[in-house]
Amino acid sequence: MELSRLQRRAENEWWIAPYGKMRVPAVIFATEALIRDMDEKVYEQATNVAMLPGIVKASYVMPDAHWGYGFPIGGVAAFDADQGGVISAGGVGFDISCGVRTLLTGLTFDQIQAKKERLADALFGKIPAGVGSRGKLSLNEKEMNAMLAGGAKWAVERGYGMREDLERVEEGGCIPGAHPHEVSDRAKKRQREEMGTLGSGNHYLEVQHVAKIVDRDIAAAFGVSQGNIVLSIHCGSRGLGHQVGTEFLTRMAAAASQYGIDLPDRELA
Amino acid sequence: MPECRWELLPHGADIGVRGVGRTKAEAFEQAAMALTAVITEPASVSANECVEITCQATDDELLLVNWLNAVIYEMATRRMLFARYEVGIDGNGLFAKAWGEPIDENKHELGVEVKGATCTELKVAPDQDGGWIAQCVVDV
Repeated sequence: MELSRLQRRAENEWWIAPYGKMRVPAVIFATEALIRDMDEKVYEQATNVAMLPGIVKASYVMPDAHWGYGFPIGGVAAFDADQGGVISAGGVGFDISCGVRTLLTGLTFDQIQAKKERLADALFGKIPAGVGSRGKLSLNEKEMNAMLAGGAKWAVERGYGMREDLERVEEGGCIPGAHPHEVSDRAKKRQREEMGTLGSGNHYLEVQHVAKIVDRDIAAAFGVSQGNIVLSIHCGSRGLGHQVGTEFLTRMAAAASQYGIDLPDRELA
Repeated sequence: MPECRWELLPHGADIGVRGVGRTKAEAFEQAAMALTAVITEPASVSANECVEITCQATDDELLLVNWLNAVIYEMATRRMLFARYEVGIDGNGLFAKAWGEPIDENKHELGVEVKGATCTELKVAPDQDGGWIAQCVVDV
């Protein structure tokens, strides 16, 4: 990103003052080096977000920002319903309940060294991954709704996780108030096919070795020490999240003009 | 008049699909071919079974997004890959046939699963050669 287009307000705080249809400034938190490496699209997307009705104070951009859909990835904004604030389906995004989780194994690097190949084969054999893979779970309509409403709690109740896992998940693994009946049959059908599979693309399960501890206190809080073997898993959302996000986004994009909402980018609908 | 063709465009962690055709409908067919190419080598897919797909939208660009999402939905829920598409567009409605076969790990070299089509880099427009372009980024 071009530094000359930004005002430096503090060591790591950069502003784009409102111009054109922007209602508030865009504020980027990043070091100079990160700003230089940032995609110009982040500038464009952060200013687009600043144009949305009812935005509070600023369109914020975190240090990890990169080119996203409508919002930059790492973009943050609040909207005040009493000030004409909007709900942006694109801002909520397609990645519903997607995330990375690290599991401690209690094993050390030395213990698995001689068994690495067998371990990899066993993981490939047991975990359905890749395009078109099939899982062992097939949920009927009632169970699908229970899963959508119960989240990780549902999984633990059925023996797919441990109670202690929930203590380490945001909101205990379940945000109350979900309306599974608002999720379309098409979205549920996609989930039915993918249930219990890891996915493909950037979804992964990695066996990782803790090679170096940088901050002892943080490592201790997470129960990690040097030489540990941990499993990191990136999964979630996939077909279900995309189907839900896309269905609402296309409906809202088509309806925006009826409500007098001028969208700088349809992806912000 | 341009030849019918498809292209893949780089986009950060995701990928863009572009179809070029003599008509809008042909550009839509080619964009769907590009979608197949994200997942596997299109030439490795046999056009054995036919699936009918319809969708609607309020304008051409949202129609492209809905079309590609409908193809993604059929591929995901039928576990199929498509090798050929035939698209008809009538105002806001699209009527299509897609020919393909079930995914076969031994036959198809599989790349990534596509989660959905997006409104990013979305464009459906005539190009300067008198043909049509239909493109958008797909989330993988």
